[in-house]
Amino acid sequence: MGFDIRGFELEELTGVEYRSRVEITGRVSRSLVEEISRSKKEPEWMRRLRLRALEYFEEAPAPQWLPYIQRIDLDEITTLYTKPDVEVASDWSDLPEEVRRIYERLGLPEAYARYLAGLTTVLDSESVFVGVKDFLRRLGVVMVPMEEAVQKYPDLVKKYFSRVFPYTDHKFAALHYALWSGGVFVYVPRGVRVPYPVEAFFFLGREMEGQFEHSLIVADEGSELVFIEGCSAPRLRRESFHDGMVEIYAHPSSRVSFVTVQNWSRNVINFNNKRAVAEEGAFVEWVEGSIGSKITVTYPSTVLRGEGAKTVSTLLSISNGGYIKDTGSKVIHAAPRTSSRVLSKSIVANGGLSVYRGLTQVNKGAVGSFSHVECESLILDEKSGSYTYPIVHLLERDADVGHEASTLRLSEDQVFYLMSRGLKRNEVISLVVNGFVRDVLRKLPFEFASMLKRVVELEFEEYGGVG
Amino acid sequence: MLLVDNVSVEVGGKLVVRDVTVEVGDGEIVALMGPNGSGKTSLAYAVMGHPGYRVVKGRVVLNGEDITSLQPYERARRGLFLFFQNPVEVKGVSLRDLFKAINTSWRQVEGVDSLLEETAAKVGLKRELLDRGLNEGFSGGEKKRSEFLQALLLKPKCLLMDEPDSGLDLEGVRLLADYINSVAREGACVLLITHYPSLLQLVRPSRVLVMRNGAVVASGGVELVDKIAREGYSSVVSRNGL
Amino acid sequence: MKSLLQVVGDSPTIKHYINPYEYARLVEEASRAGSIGEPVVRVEGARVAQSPTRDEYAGDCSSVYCLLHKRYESARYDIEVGGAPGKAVVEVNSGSLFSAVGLNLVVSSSGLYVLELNLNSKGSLSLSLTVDAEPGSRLLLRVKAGEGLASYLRLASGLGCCASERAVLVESSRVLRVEELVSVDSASLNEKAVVLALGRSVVDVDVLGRARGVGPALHVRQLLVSLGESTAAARGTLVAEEGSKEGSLVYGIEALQLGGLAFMQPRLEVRTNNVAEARHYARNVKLGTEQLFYLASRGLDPREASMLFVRGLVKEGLSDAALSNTLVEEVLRRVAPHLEA
Repeated sequence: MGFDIRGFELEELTGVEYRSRVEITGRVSRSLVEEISRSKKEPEWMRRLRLRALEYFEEAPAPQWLPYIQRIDLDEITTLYTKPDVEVASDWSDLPEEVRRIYERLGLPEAYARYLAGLTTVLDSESVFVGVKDFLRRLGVVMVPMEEAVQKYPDLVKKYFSRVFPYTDHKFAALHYALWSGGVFVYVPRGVRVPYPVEAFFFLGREMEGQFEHSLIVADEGSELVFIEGCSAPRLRRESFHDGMVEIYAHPSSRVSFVTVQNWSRNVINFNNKRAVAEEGAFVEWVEGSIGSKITVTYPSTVLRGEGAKTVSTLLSISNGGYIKDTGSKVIHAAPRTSSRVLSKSIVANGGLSVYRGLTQVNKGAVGSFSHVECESLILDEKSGSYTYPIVHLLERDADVGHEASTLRLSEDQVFYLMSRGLKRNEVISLVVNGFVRDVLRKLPFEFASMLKRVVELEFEEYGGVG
Repeated sequence: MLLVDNVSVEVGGKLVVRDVTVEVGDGEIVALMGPNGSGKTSLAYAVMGHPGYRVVKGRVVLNGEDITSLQPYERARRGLFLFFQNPVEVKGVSLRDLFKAINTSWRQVEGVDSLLEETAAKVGLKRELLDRGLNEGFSGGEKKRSEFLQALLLKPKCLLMDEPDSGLDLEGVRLLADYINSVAREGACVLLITHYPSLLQLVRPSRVLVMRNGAVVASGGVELVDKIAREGYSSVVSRNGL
Repeated sequence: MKSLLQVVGDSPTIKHYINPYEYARLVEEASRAGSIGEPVVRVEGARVAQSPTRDEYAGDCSSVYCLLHKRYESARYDIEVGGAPGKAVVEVNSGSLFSAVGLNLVVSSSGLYVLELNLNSKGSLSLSLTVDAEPGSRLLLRVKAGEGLASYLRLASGLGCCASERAVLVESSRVLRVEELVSVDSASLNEKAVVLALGRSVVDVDVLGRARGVGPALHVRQLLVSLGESTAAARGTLVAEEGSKEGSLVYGIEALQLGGLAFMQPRLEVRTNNVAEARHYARNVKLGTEQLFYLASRGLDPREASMLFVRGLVKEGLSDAALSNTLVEEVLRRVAPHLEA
């Protein structure tokens, strides 16, 4: 009685309720990829990279760990690549009226004037505004649209592009590399400390849009940079798909902070591939405020490759309503005496779901390394859920590693207690939520802390109805 | 009797104690004072034999035996006790577990369980702390009381007391002082480290040494304590021309 | 409701510590060679009877290992123990390359009961063990797998009510996959599992626990001890089901690496806000220099200090003194030789 192993589903399980592969229908044609490459006048190596990535995309199995994304139809994302009919401007007044108005509503010109050293805005698939203040130029800092970097700094780009996050990582990474467009390239020369943050702002203007921006940050030895990423989209009728990527290469003793405030509208499926490599003594910080979108899948990761490298991730996610946040932070300790800290807070309400998926790996030889991960989720009602899936891989015993997580709830007893002190129901919620996120906000630059605080307040203002 | 004989101590290649000599006779209380970071705790660690505190010069003699190269547990078994200023947490190992292990290992005590509880009551340590991991979530005062309890149970011949009074309330300090006076009367030697003179009003040491930057910079009788209380460390140091 | 033990797949967070393809290939090979046999089960200290009903599978069975077991289970036995507290030893042996057997353990003793399960055959063994224990019982399940081919143990239990505590000690010198299913419905279960991975073994323990009803408590603590060049993995998912009320979930994994590797994945799924407590942790543990010095200053030599430390790790989470002492002694006996120096 022989049998054939092909008859079995040969994958290991762990009890999870679902097992649906993401079904990807439609095709990305080779000619589309060629067309994108041609319109950007790309060198041969980039064109080849796109095509190799496309081949990989077609072969790679569809991800299976995302039960809630049943189907992505690439044909329906009618415009995988949209070049807005706008020339790149370096002055707000050079932008067409309607585009400028969008940015004014978002407060970008004001922010640029007040506290940013540089700003790039991406509309749909292309950069439309690039402002770099003079002092930044004088410091030798490069901040240009990714496409321009490919033309102007071919050696630098070729050296780092796709080095931190190769397209072979997963299917959506491959798709990203085949279709990438827009994004920003930042190079901070040796020893240069950029005193103010630079920002890249991404805006999806149309429906069924795919946005595949690629940002690459290279911080040379001993340099410092704070990079802010803002994401927004108006309320669109149909789903949009965002599959962006951020690569950070932190050379020895450099410091890079990457701050994301994501407030996509409720029908954006948001994949964000973020990874950094930290060399000896370098420091990489991820801060992620994840408010909007229908589904967000993002795991900011750092490979601590040099001795004494450090990373800190601070994540705040809110799933209010039937929205899903699948986030987490991954750290690979690949060198001695490296350290990592992760703080993740999530709030779920009205049928929201938050998933924390994290990885801490200490490689053999990464002696004296330290890692601490702390996750907390606050569940505001019975319809909502919170899952925590941490992984700890210890290949080295001389390390100090801990993961802790807990789920807090808001119970009717607590609500009653606080209401008996004269607070209305929504005031109670707001009080509890604010207390919960306080230690995350404390870690953010002031402007973001106050902005995020306001967003959180708005999000829960209506919650619970009348008291 | 404890003799610290011209000892220098290195930590991670840095000299933290230089040429210190301290002699504490049986039944004697010697106070070791000095500002923070003057090397008092390093000296105590070296005397107890912490592997990170290397004695690079001199020797430590306990009751006539050179113990400089002995393991810390061997020193403990010879009657040396270190009352830690800031004892570490040892997860999962309670005071009860510790004394059971000591009991089977090197020091048989009848009825260790009930003795523990009696002693806990005596030093004012909450009973439930006997079953929590060592120092895990203990307050400052609770840590001191736990150290105190261990000293009472182990009946050491020579005590190194590293700031035993900090974090204790008045009642606790009084209890501790009574204890120190009584063990000294019974013939134990006590090296009492503190940088607050308050405990020394209750425990009158026969000699007082002052350390600074790793070296003994002043020594004298109990009158030094009062002077430090009044005028601070610099007064005694300059007076002695160091 | 979908099946309990589900095939998941290619998540970046799911790793195959044991390659399921290799295991399946092994069984396939045995099948081709006509070497799938009936294991010899020897029981000491308990009543044993061939079970009339084969394979009931409380909960589902959809992992590769379980599917293969179901397909090839050649016999099932009822093992009944009861009356006075005591001990039973079950030895499983087989001359074949692969053999699968089912065991139903019925414990009707309310005291501490020790079941020793020895996997002796060099070939691959697949065991499905169901446990029906008296409410309030204290059970120590000691599994010992010597050197041999990759093997599988499925441990399922049904608990209707009342508090219960149990300890599982898995010691293996071979590649061993353990799947454990627990489910509490308005009841509580406190489990401590110690995994000793020896030699070059890979031991992967996967738990799926569900809490339903009112006030369910499910506390699982796993201690991984990886010796030599072994790999020890502990993982699983505890679920507070939708509609459950005032549940308490605690899932803790600790790893003590004595030469080997350790992988930990304590997963928690909370599907209601009506939980009293839901937390988990994963950390490595070791006796640091400062702790060693502290204990040494109390007269304990490094070996004694380590033993004391391991004792603390093993008993943490267990409330029954007899159970925790028995477990501690068993673990220390095995670990002591590795604690030198």
